[in-house]
Amino acid sequence: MSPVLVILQKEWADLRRHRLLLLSMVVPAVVFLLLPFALVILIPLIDPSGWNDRNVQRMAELLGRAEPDLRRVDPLLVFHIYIFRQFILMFLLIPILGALSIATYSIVGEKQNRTLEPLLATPIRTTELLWGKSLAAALPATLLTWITFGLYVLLMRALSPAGVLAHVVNPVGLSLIFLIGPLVAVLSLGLGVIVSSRAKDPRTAQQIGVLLILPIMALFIMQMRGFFLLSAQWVWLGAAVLLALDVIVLKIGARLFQRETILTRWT
Amino acid sequence: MITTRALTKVYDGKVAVEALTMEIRSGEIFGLLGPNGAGKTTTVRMLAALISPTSGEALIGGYRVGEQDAAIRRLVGIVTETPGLYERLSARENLEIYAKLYGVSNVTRQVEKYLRLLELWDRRDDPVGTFSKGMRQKLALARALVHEPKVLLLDEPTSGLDPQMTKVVRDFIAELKEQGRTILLCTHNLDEAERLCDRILVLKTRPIALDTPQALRRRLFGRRIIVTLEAVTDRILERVRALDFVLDVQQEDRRLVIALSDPERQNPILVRALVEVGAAIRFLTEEAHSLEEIYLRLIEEEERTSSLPSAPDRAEAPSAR
Repeated sequence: MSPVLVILQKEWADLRRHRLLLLSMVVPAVVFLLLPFALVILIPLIDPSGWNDRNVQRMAELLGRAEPDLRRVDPLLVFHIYIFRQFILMFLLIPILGALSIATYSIVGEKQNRTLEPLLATPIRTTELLWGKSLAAALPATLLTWITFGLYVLLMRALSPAGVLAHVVNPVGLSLIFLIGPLVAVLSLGLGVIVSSRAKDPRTAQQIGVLLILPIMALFIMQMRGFFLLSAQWVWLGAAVLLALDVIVLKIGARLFQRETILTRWT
Repeated sequence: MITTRALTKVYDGKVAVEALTMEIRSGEIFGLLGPNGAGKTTTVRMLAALISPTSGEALIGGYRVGEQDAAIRRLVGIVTETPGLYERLSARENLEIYAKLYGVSNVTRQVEKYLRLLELWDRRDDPVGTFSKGMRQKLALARALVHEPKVLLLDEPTSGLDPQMTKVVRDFIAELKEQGRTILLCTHNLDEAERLCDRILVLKTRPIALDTPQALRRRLFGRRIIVTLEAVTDRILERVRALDFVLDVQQEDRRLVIALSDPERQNPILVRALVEVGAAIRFLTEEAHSLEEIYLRLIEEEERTSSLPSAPDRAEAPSAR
């Protein structure tokens, strides 16, 4: 069996038994999944004019400019589309938090338990070890994002007015989930590896996540305020930038992930 | 099986190991002794191809450290200072991971073999986090052996264990020697080193002494016998001093401490001479110096030498084979 697969198996066997870590990944996903439904149901009930306020109107204008067929659509439908599109951005936090949590727990945990030395004494190459750990972090985080998105689509289909789904599950939405999602997961785990080389406990290492969460939150707020609408061009540009950043952080991570460096310089 | 020549490791300008030359024979248990920070763990890491030497060379089974590291790692099993086990995984899972990483052909059989051998089979599916320190240490030994290495590097394998578990681990190490494995044993437990090791190296960044415990004892303290008499008279003392092979005599109450060069040959002559002058002998024993005394003497001498303004003799560190 390939050493990468052995590490992958080991990491997942460990992850399955780490309930706290699993919960810290699943709870945000459930919140991001249910929150938009709560909003589209509760806001019109609590404040009947809430879904028609200035921001929503601005958003409707933007949406109408980008997609002319939405100009003639019922404002309630626009409100639904607006909220559901917004939360696709929030779904990007799932791979960021998930990959970062697994990567930092995996590496800092090995440092704390002193399991790295016997592991590095085996014939495994450090690149294989890094690949195994990276896949073990990126795959579940990405998979969780996709599963959450799948449930999101099913719930939208079941609970939202007809026509919403087609305007939410569009090329921009799909690119965010299936292209940007894995790219931010890789960026997150790469940063996790770099920070883990210095951090003494996983929580300290996870603070780096703020660096990644902030741009997503900024986009979310800008869209929410109606200043900006994420288009396919922006998504592709973002993907190119993320790809470049992924290559850079993975190269730095691979340079740090050397036997001698790990044993003698990682604190 | 293991050869080092002028092996040196420097971290950020600080010398961890300097000019270590030694040869460990196949099937031997070789003890590496030294105070904390003496370079024992650094030496083990270099021999396990975990870190590369700054200068000098090390050959393990003919493979050169720094050039044929993957081959060395297949040949070597290591028990690190702390067991380093995956706490949430079971004993069996822990061993299976390593068996697979070492490319063992029949993983299930090898894992079962060592779990049974080290009496962990009944707890094979329990998480390691629930194991006692002794059980963890046994599992770490099983992990080091799962790929049947010819060379074992054991860094403090009985550290922190109770006397009963220490004996279990020590007996197991002795069994491994019987199987023909070459073992490098780093330990602070000098009694353990005395019982197990064929030869020892005292290290304090540089090698201080390398030999069998018996040879070191002879070199440092000579050979002395203690004769306990009913009474010590001047006539007895004069008679002993008159023997040409006696190197030194000291009286301690009713005991004579006599330094000899070859007690096996000279003791019968000495006893005959004592009886001739009317000495009543109660006991005759050879003075025993523990390995601890040898070790402390060596370290003290090294500290004394290294504190001198210039120490040209330090350049001639032992490199015995």
